[in-house]
Amino acid sequence: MSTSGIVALVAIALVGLASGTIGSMGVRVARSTSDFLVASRTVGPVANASAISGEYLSAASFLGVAGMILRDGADALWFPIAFTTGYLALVLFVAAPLRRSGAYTVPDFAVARLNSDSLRRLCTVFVLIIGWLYLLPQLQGAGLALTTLTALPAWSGIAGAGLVVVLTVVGGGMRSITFVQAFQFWLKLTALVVPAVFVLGLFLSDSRSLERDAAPDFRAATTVAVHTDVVLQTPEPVNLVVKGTVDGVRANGPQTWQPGRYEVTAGTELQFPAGSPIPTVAGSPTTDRAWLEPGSGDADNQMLAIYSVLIAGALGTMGLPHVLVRFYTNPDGRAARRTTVVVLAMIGGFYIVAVLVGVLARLYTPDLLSTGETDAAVLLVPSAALGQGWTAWLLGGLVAAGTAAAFLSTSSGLVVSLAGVLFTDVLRGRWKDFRLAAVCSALLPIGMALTVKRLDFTLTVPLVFAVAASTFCPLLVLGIWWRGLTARGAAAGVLVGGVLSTSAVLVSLFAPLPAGVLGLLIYRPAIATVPAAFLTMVLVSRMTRAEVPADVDDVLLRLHAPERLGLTHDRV
Amino acid sequence: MSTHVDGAPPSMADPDDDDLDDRDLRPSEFDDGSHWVRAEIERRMAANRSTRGRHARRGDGATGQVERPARDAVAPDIRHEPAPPHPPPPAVPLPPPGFTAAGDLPENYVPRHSVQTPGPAAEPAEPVSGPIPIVRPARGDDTSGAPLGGPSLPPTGIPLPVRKKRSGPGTPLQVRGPAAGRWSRPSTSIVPDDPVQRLGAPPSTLGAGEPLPPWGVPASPPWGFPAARDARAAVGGAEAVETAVPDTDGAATDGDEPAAGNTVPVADDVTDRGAADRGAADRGAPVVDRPAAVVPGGAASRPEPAAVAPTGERDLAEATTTTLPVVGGDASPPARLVGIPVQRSSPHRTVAPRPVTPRHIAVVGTAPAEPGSTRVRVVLSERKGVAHPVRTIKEVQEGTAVGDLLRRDLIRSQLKVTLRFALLTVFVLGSLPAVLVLPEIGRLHVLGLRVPWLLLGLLVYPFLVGVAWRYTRVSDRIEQNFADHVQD
Repeated sequence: MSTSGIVALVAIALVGLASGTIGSMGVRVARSTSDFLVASRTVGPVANASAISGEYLSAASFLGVAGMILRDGADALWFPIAFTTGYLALVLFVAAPLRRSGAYTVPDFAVARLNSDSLRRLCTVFVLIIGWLYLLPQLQGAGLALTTLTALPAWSGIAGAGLVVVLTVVGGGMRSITFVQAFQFWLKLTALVVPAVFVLGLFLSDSRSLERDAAPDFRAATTVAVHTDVVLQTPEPVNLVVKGTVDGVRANGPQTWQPGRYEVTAGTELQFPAGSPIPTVAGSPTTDRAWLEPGSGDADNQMLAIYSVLIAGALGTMGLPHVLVRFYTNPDGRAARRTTVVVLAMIGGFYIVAVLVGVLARLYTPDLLSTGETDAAVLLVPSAALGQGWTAWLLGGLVAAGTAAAFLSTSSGLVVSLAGVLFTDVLRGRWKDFRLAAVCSALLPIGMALTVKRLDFTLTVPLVFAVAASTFCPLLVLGIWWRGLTARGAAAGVLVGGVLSTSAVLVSLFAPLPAGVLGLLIYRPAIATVPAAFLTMVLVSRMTRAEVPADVDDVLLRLHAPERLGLTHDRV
Repeated sequence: MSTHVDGAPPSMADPDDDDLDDRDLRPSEFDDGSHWVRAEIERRMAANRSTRGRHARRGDGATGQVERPARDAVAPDIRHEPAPPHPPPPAVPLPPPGFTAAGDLPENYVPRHSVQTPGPAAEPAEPVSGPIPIVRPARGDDTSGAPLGGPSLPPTGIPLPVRKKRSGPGTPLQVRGPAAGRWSRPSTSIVPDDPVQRLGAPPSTLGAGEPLPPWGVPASPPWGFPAARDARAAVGGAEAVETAVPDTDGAATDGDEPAAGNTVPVADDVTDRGAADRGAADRGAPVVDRPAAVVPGGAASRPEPAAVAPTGERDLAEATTTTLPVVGGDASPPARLVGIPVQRSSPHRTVAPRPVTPRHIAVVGTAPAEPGSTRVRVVLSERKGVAHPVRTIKEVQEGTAVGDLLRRDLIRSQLKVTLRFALLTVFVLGSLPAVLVLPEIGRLHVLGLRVPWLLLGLLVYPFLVGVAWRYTRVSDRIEQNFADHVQD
């Protein structure tokens, strides 16, 4: 293992240690179930906002955004915007009322609003599905990071991350998690800002520019190992040595690729000489100038894809279980709104830096373009830009620490909220059971992460958001703003949206996509499934309008009236 | 009177609000077919106004007429039974809530003020005027004189509200000349109880009561203002008040007057009177249930110059002309009594929606019998946030027609604002992909960056934060308005 690998490993270990320490310090303070689940609502807005941001900025954000930018350029700018807009939608539609509903989870909300146990069970199922789907890329991100940084096998990263997460959650509950995550947010931000500043300084003293009509090129002779099947395209002829299978033909020797597309099978090695143009993954812009312009890739229906991602991000955030739980730790509805605004600012700032790192990665680590593992960009930029040396190693260590914080925080947040759902809905026990619930909710995704092939964050994260947007978003928004919603209507909408989007996820993950618009809708389902869910919910509620709960006016008043009128009662 | 001042329900729309947000909100808030609501609210407010101010009342011919009978009928009852929470008489006399001696209070009587103005200071019941310890005149002489002085204190002017920001509960908040006039009567009645203690203690009370005649004249002109000033001066300290008190010839007068006054209530029984007064006062002050009733106490403390003036004058006129000499006391008492009942009835109904009115426990001490003399009104403490029974929120919860409208209005205005902000965002974000794809724009450079990168990589985030921040302000505002409106 190289020095940089060791430094990175030490940094990751330190993060784990610090999280554990802060978590266990929190345990001493956590004396009640209330402490455990909602930190007794004593968390201030900034601390709470840091925790929410820390929890939200997952490995997908920390690693994925820069990777998307590296590969897709201007079109990828929409991903972080979509993820940020989610908080705007939260603040606009649900933050304060949700807090006032006294609901700890979406199932709680369903009961509080519609008083239906079957709807509650349905929601519980989807909370688990969403949580598990989201945990999957997080854990695999941990594996990717460990592999990239230290050359250790991916499974060790997944297992290690899973272990730390479970220990943290079991140890401290929500209160400790709050502090841990607030700490992790600032660590993540630092881990992104510091290297970005270093590399940016380097870039500004550099004469290279992205304003050119050529593909990025390898600065040194490079061997690219392809781990997953990939279709590459090149705008210029490329000379290379192939060991493996290209276009279904075994090859072992030099080749010249004319401009066009080439299917490279997993396990193939491609050796490029220094200065040769870099083939990119099909669908992405090939030249730097094209990369700078929106809509320049040759993928189909790009505009549709962008809108779909925007919808998924904007409406999906409010359905993520670990985000919702956080709102219940606010002292009141107003604080919930304020917290959300702070979160918006924090996340926005973070993404600005992440985008910058993505741009720098285009300059310094373009070789990732041909492996399809662009998600590793953040990890590699420091060493690529600064070369070997302690500066690069330390920066690499910092980035590694940030990465660890990223997957730990999101994963532990997810596990806490999943455990919360299991605990309140299934186990119905005291907080000993909470620990059991935590272990249960972590085991399944860890198992899946170990067995399922890793996919790009660009693919998996928007898919999870799409599921959340198609199920809980309509339930929350209509539940809060429309008195005509009925339990059956809600259940129908959640089912329609949930089944459609979940099947799209499964098809995307495990099956080849059909071409054309249908393929795009499976790959980016939100634009179809969200309206379908809303529509179903409204129509079925209309048909069953006799079943509008009798106390609907009371409940709505509670959701919207300020706390000082004394209408709300906290459950925990 | 003063009530109105406070009265404008915050929820309604504070004229003061400079906030831009408010402007935005206002239209939206009540836009939705809630004219109805608005109308209702306005109606209520208007009703409150007319109801609350005594003067206002009097102004009404009808009311005035009613008063007389009421007073006659009521007066007797009141004396004996101060207990009824809504005793008619108290409403007007409210000012002296503090004065009423705790001891005197009828058993039945539930001192509302204690709740309302739990001002600690008030609580420590001075022998006579339990609640108004502050007022007491320190002077030994005064004590004796005090009683007299108290009554003598001419409630000259129209009480101008001098308001101190909150002072500790016990501390005298306000001194009002004018108020005293009105109140003086009741106070007068009090005097008898324990002249020394009472008088001594709350000069204001005393003064308020009897002085009528003297100041009636002098006071009248200066009504609100001069009095107020004096009051302020007086307010400086309880002592000031006291000083005033001793001076009063009124003291002597008071003694007499009280009797006269008493006649109305109970001439002979000082105690009774005191009780009655208290009852009235208490009710007036304490009445939480009926904002109107409650207000009166507060109202008394802060009269609205304009509104009050006319009425006040009237009163004065009555008092002065007719009553001044002997009757002064009598005349006024009836008036009060009358006024009270009336107010009471309409007040609670109407008043319900009231915004929070600070209640003052006002004790009016009027020092100088002289015309120019100041009436001092000491308001013990003003307390906000005292538990009131909340009428409207219950209405809202119980789904009455009004409550229903209020609730819908809240939700609708919130939804409107939400949708407005959401549409703005959707429009901006939705149009960007389509616009930026145009090569002319996509290749444009601004600040050394390509426009798409500048917009999407940088500027869009402050935009989103700005939208959210603005929304929280607007939305908070709507909520607070709703709460203000409904709570009091």
